[in-house]
Amino acid sequence: MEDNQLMARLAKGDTDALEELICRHRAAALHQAESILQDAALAEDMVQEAFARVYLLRHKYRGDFAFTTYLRVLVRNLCIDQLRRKRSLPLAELPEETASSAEECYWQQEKRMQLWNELRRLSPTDQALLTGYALEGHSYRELAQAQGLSLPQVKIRLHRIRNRLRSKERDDP
Amino acid sequence: MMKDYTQSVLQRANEMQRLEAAAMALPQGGTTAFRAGWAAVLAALIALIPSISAAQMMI
Repeated sequence: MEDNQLMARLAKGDTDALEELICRHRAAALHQAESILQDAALAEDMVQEAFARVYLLRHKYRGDFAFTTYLRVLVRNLCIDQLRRKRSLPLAELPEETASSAEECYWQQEKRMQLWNELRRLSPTDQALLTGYALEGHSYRELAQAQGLSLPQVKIRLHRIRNRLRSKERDDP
Repeated sequence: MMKDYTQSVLQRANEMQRLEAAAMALPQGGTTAFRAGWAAVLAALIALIPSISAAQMMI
């Protein structure tokens, strides 16, 4: 079965299709990530993140280009973001890739990707505060107790999270 | 083995989806939240005053 057919099956909720895609492309994706990051553990993390995004974007995937190209774009951009975080982006050493329809598809999802990148950067405590407050409806006091923080710390952290996410929205064109 | 890996990927995707939903549901702060933030900072600073005074007395 072709990769694009597997993506179509995944879009219909068949997670076995994801397993097959992982089986086929994980090694190459790891090789690509390692060559950019020069760090095996980080590369493994980025590849897992890339497959998670393949799953999250399964309904947006267009079958008019190769899945391998799409995955390469995802992995490359995740690795570049990771290098930016470490402020050590060796731009000259990155392999040049021409714009493709896979790239175009990626950038159409850019705003969502940027939000995911920002959320990924939050510390585990901040992630717990965000979901506890916005999804589970816990009070500041309950969150403070659960996270071992003071009430002012909870308020300040949530204020910062809100600002980070909002500034990311403003940065987007 | 690959099954476990796929499960980890799916779990990671679900966590990301949950965080995204939280980010979308997070109420916009505005001036009130800004004031609340500063009020919290001031409250924390004021709470320090007695201990600072006590420390000065000790000196």
